[in-house]
Amino acid sequence: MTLPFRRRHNDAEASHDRARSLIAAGFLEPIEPTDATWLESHLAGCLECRTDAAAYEADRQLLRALRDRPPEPPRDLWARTAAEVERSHGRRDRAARRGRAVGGPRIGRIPLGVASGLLVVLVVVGAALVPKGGLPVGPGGTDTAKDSPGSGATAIAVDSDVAWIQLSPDGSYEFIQANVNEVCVDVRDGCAPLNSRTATRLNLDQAPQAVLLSPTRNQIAVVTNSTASSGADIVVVAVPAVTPTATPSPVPTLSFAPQSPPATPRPTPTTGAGSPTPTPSGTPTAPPTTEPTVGPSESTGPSGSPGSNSGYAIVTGVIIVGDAAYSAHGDWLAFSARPADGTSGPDLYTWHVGDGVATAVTSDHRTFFAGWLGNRILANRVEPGVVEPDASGDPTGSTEPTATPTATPTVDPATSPGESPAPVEDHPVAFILDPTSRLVVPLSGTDVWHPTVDPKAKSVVYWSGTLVPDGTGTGWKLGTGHLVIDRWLDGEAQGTGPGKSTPGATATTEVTAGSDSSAAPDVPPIGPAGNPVALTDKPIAEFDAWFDPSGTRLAVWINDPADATVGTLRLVVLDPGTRQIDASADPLPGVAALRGVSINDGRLAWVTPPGQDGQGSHVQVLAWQGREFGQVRTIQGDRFFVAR
Amino acid sequence: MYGSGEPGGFAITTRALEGHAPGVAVTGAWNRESAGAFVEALFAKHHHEIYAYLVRMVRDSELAADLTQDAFVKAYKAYDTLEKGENARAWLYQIAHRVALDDIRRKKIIRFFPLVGDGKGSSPSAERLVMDVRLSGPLERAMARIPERQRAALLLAELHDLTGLELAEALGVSHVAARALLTRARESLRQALAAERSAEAATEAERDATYAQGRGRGG
Repeated sequence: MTLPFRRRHNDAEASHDRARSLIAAGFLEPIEPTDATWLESHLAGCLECRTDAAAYEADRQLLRALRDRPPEPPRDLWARTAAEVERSHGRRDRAARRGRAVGGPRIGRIPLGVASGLLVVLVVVGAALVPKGGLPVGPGGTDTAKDSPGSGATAIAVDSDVAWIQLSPDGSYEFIQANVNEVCVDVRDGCAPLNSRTATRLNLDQAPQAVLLSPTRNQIAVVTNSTASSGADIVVVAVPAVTPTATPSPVPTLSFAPQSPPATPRPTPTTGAGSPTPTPSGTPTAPPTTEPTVGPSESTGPSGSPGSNSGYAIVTGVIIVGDAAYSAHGDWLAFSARPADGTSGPDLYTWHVGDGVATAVTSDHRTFFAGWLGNRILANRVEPGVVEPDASGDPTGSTEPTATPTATPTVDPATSPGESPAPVEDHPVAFILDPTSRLVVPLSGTDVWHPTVDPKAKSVVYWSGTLVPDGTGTGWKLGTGHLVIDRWLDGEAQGTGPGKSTPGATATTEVTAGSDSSAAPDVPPIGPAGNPVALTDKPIAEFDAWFDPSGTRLAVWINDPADATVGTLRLVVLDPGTRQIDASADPLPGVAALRGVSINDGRLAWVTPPGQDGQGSHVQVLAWQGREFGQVRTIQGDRFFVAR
Repeated sequence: MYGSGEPGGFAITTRALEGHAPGVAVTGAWNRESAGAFVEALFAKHHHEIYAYLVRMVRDSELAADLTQDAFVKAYKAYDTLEKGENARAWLYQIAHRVALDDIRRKKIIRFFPLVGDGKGSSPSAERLVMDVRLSGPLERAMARIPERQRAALLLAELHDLTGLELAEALGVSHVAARALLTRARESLRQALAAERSAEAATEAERDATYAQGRGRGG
């Protein structure tokens, strides 16, 4: 019988289909002898089916190779499951009680096995929740008891610490340091809120916008909020050093700690750098530097007393552009800043800890601090893209960047917009600067913007692309390109290595006005290896990236285009051996976070935006022990600034 | 490789599971003591492989942990439905399979590294697809492209060594249907792998060209 509306295979197609079916079935279990005989005969005369059989077998072997890499379940999975079983039983109990009213069956006692599992969970949680002597933290200081761990809490023991600034109930700001000794899988139904270990009251004239904790842990640098009239300051304040420990010392009262700047023999400010004498609030006295100094000049005297326990300003009346950061050893602070009046673009500033004020080391108004490579600065200078090469390829007006930053911009987007009628994309040039010798090493590669190199100098994250003027006349925004991760190529590794401040003399140029772009060609390249992998193809307006000290945890924050203060934070895990992204680990799949994220040994900390789930802000911490991750947070508050 | 180990280092007995081995009856209505002991033993013996299966189905380790937990809770609640003669392992896989499919269908999630705005539970985005292409191998991408049921059949047969009958039970279909599904899965994988390799070659060629161009420009 023929089915008129159904396509039928011809005999050949049907036999091929049957052959493929039998080949596939044969991998699962033995096929019937008659089928096996037929298949053997068919394959002998059918190259196509033999090819298919070989392909199936190859794919199968490829698939079976995954057996060698079984994913490892989290160690607390049984605890979580047992707790959920118990919770479900509670629900069942309630249903049963409702049922008993109409004659339902009785439910017996919890079985010994599940009970033992739950007991272990409770012991773990209970041990982790033993009070450690810390005071509850939070506005009003009263909202802690109700944040007791939920029944489903599964604590993971960690050993880290975190610090932040918060607004206290009396309207002042406090610098809080806390140990992080336990985290939980479910932050909302988990560990007790973070407790303070020390609290230091800050006398700030302006609200903070960021805070940096020195690697020496005895000093913070507070970037104050920029105002239209006076700009922002950076104020340094001595704080009690707190190291991670599972046995906290008694929590001090909210008080000042005398400031003790490191006794580094540097050019000293007019007031005694080592003086611990407290003075009133650090009032900036140096006027805003409309035109930053050029080259290795020392700035004028300090704007406040370095000995003040209120801190003192190392720069005043500027707009801080991007992040400021301490060097790996904590003896330098670097940042880029531009005048508050917006008359020019940013320059690079350095401050040697203990000195009076920060010093501008460039004057081209287009140099941006990117980060530290050990004790050397990674920075960018923006080279103007002039005109597109003509059709003949004439390199006149080439957009090729110079190798080292120069002090004299050739095209300023602020002053010559009309000279480039076509949309022009500018090119970032990245370089390394030794803050002591002021010598420069250009990075290899082109269009490397805002590079962040991991502390082990294995990987680098950067914007691989161009920049375009942002419309202010003195700044730029991301142009065409991608946010990428790449291997870090350290041509100096066998010589000086990252973090060592003796760049090869032939490769260096001093950063001074008028320095040209010549760099010795015969030096090993240092910079991205040139094999980038995009972290996202979505258009982004702004980003930040930070590695943990091991270089295997990468925090990426991408700005929300609709709100400059909020972004999406993601933690990416890198394989320690290959430095490739570990696709099996995704411990933080994109959370809303305010600008200013901190990553350190074993933990990532951020501030949640207010309004999430109807709550205020929290300082939230994701901490890990191996491949186990958990979270903990403070009680909610109004204004938090996590210390980086 | 799978099927052993103690959850979280806790001592686990296996007495209940032995009572539920194939051919041994489970009698009576749901009972809390029996259910608890049963799921505890089941977990001790199978949680590694169930977790591994779910990781490969949803490609998200944290989600897979949640789904593993869900699967064992469902097993706890439903252990009295495990009938005489049934294979507890295949029955557990059936639960896990349904949990995975339910979640995939409900949330449409198979994520990799959507760094922007693609939180847990959101739909796969163009960005996710791009990231899939860039960040995983051709096999993983090919597996992600084939239908979930076919992917499940391949995983269960090739990585978890289910027999034809066990596969049928886990997938909730007849033996013949399971074999047919697996045949279709092998063909789908073959085609998807070919497409992935071709796309990868094209991407590499384009990247090399771009890099060479950049080198030329940068000197």
